[in-house]
Amino acid sequence: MAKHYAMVIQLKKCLGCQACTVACKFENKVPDGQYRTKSPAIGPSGTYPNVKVFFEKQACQMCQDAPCVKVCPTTASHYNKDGLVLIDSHKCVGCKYCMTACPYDARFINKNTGTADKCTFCYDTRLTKGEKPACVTTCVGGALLFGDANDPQSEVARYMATHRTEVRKAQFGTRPSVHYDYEGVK
Amino acid sequence: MQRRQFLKGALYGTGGTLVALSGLGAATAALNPRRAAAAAPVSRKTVYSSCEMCRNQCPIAVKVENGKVVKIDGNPNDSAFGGVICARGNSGPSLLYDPERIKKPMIRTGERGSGKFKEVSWDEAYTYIAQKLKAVQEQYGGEAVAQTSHIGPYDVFFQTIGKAIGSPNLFSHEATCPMARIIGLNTTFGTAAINADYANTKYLLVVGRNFFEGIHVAQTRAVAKALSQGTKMVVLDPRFSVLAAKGEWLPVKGATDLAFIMALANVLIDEKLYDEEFIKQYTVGFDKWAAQVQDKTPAWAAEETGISQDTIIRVARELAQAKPHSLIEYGWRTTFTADDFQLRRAIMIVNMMLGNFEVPGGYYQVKDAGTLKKVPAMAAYAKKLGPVKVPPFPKPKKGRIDGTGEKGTPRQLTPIADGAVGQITETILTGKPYPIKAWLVHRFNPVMSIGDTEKTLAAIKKLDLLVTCDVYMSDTAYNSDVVLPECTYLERTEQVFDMSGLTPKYVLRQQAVDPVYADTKPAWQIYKELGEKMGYGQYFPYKDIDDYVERQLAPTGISRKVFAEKGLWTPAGMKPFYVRSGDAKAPLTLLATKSKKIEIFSDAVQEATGAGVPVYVPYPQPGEGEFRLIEGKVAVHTNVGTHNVPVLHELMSENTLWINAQSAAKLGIKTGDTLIISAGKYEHKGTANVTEGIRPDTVFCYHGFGQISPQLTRAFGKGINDNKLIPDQLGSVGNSITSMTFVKVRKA
Amino acid sequence: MEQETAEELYLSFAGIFQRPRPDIARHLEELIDLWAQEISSSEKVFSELREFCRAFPAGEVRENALWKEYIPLFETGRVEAPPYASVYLDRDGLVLGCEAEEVRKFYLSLGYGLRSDQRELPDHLGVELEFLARLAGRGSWDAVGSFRKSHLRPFLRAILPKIRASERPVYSQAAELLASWQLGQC
Repeated sequence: MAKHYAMVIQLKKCLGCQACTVACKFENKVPDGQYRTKSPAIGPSGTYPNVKVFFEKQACQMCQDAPCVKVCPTTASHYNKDGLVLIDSHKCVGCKYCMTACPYDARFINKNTGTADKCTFCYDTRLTKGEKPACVTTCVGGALLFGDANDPQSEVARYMATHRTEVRKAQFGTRPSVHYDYEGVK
Repeated sequence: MQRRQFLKGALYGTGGTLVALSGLGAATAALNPRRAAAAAPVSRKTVYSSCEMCRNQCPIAVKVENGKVVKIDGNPNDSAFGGVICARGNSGPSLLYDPERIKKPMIRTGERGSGKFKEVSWDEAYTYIAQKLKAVQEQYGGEAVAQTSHIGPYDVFFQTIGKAIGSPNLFSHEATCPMARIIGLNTTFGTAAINADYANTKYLLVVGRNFFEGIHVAQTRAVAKALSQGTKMVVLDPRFSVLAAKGEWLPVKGATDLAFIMALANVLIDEKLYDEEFIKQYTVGFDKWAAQVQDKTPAWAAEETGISQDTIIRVARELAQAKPHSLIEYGWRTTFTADDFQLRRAIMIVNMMLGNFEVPGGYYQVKDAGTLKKVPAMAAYAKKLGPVKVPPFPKPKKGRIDGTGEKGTPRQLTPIADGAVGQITETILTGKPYPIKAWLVHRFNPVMSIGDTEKTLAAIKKLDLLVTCDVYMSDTAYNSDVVLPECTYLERTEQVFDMSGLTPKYVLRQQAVDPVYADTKPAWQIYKELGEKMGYGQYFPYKDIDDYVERQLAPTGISRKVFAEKGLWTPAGMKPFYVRSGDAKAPLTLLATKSKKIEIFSDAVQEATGAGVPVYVPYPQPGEGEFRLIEGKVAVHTNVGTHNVPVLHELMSENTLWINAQSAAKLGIKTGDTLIISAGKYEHKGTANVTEGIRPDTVFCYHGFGQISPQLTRAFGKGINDNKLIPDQLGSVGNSITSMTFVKVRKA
Repeated sequence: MEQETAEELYLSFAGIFQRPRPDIARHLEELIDLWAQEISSSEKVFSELREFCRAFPAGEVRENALWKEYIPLFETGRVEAPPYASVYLDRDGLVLGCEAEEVRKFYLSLGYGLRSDQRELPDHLGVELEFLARLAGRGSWDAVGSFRKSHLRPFLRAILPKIRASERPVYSQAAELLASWQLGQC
């Protein structure tokens, strides 16, 4: 059976400590001032002393129906054999169509390469060696689960079978592979 | 022609940077360098080491490619880390390869604080320091030399200089951080080596600590694990921290935490919810404590703390219900008030009322080799590190400037290894009790860490010598006479660290790469070489750090190879050891107090302060139009040490002043407004962050911003330097007081 | 330009842009004479240089005057113009990036290595200029051309404007002259 890599983010466990943000920068040599993933604070909301705040990790959602792939004029943005949305930087001409199409604002033009860039789930540097993405490995709060959603025994599959998770901006019909569990934060 | 000879002589001779390699040259001249680069095989290795982006020394795995650090992970061989490391730990390469690091020893050429230096050789720097120190020693005595460091493995080398000179005035930074807790533990348990088993606790009450922004990876993970298993957490904090967001937030009135704790004790006694058996068997002085809290009712505490009576009663009952697997956190930076150590004692006393000592989910004594040796069944796991013997140091001729150790005064409780670091500037300025004329500083930044920045700068101007060793041109380095460049933790090996918890654990910091800037050196080498220059070679009897490590490991039988392969050592097969987990009546033979009991009433504290059990002292509260200024940590920075690290600076370059929405509305303040924060004597500009997440009588900023060294390009002048507003005021035991500053705020 | 003059000029700038040294400081007047003979520039530049020599006579006074400018300009803290090419040519602004590795390999391919007893980073401006002096001295003009095109000139285009903008005596004039020589004529 084909693989379907997925990530589950348990928001109540995210501390907003940005360990993932920095780990990603070094793992993927992301230039100064640019990010493939960030975890901004949402809030605080409410009125003193009943206040809430949480952090929401934001990166490429690895859509199964990805608008960026559809609009790419050079097929640089594509699905690889494991169903991940990746960018072939040799084919990318930097036209930014994908950046406009992405509902999650997950892409940017890499200052060093001049081509579109985004999260790859660390496909080349870690996944293919059997390691989890750098953000998952370094997560201090233990908020990130990662694995093959098509394998019912995997941590992500078991988690999603027993918890209510959501995808961001479901109305766009992009079918993301990144799932959010908002339990305990909203 | 002459010109050419001179240039060639200068640059091709001893002064050049390049050298012709024999056997190369013409033969390879045609090689395309780009192709050569592509063809060269990539050499990869992982070096296990220990982080130093903060003080906690977390075990790390450093990935090195072609001699360059490319990525840092937590050490996967340590189950407390499992490959995890925080944002600061991840950012190590950004410090390592920062062009702004100090690269050579420097001696001041302009006025002190003018920022004018020349670079010198190490030998010139050592000679200069040695001569100046000798001059001070001859004129004023060895005691006129003070030494301060943050606290760390370098101390054994750094402080050897001061000890050899005969100075008693060696200080750590602890008085500005956890010292009140250390004293609270020392006076109650006879040792400060008491840890908490957060991962297994079922109920956690946190008083003024912020596990999720002041990150200690192992402890933060343990708390996160407990929460994910359903542990309830209650957080007492005037500010809505990230930790508070993950539990029940009780916005306590500043400096009244002790009232809350005493009321908990009151309820536990009143409702007979405490562990009487435990108290009887293991403690002394409970009756005196019971008498002290008798009138500290929840109703009274509600008035004091601003937390409702019902809540206080409920928290007490919930703690009791989960006992002994419930705990009250004893705190990290314990500098709230003048008598903070009594709050820490009170917290531990209530913990003992929950009977949570030496059981899972409670407190425990650290099981290092020395402790385990006393337990026959466990002695086989105890591999005590060898001593590295040095000859006895001369006895200082005078007592310490801060009165540490003086019997019959509160300072008898102050740990001699720490002292009251805030005393130094006062003594330099007043010459009392005797002059301090030279100050050696290692990896510490008193200008930003001892209260009252301006006072510290004024004191520096009166010195004969100020030497700072650091990796950056810190605010203190900038004002120094001599600046010594230490290499970073990724470029040096250090001695074996004892990081024991429920089992023994040794960790080794191991050099991952050659120094990026060739003339930077590790602390052990700097102070050994300086010591030798000063004629103190006998106090540095080891050849180098590898020799030192060998001497440590020799009696243990542990091979150095273990550290190369795993980065750490723990005894194989040993399970976490709690003395009372199997037998609730097991004797606590490890207790280090004289009475061999847990001292709820402490004779030492009675002798020192007249309050053998904690007594409630009401502190002033902010008046009309005033706010209590509090400060804290953020997850992406460490104290005042990382604000110039490129990646971390990028993540957070500036702090703001948190102010409650209602209070701000009264003053017409909106988020983003520029404010003047006035503490009376000094004012500071800052940007407003109007929020619902803080008490109306309190303002808050993250610490360490607004640095004043112009040579910290990125961090210079960005944000609020809270340390300018907080006075250099010392508590009874010498702790700095940082939560008793009241400020007024207005729009700029 | 004859071989020996090119070698001299490279050496003179290497001497200036390495850390201040007693011998270079003592012979500063001779360097200025060399530049005045070989590089056409405004009289102002030369008069400013000579003014510095008059204000700070050869010896410790002059050395300290050079240190006063050199440290904030190149060395510690403020670092108005970090002297390492990687800081400019690799976007993350750190030392020992790809550019440093490439120039190190270029040196190696021509038979040069960095002295182990005085280990400087390979892409320090002074080291690159010293390397070119050595190539010029042995008449390896192809290599000079190739190194200038791939490494020195991109570096100079980034760093020289910063040194000039600092308006620091000696260094800003030397940068002006180096720009005229290396960037102006081609």
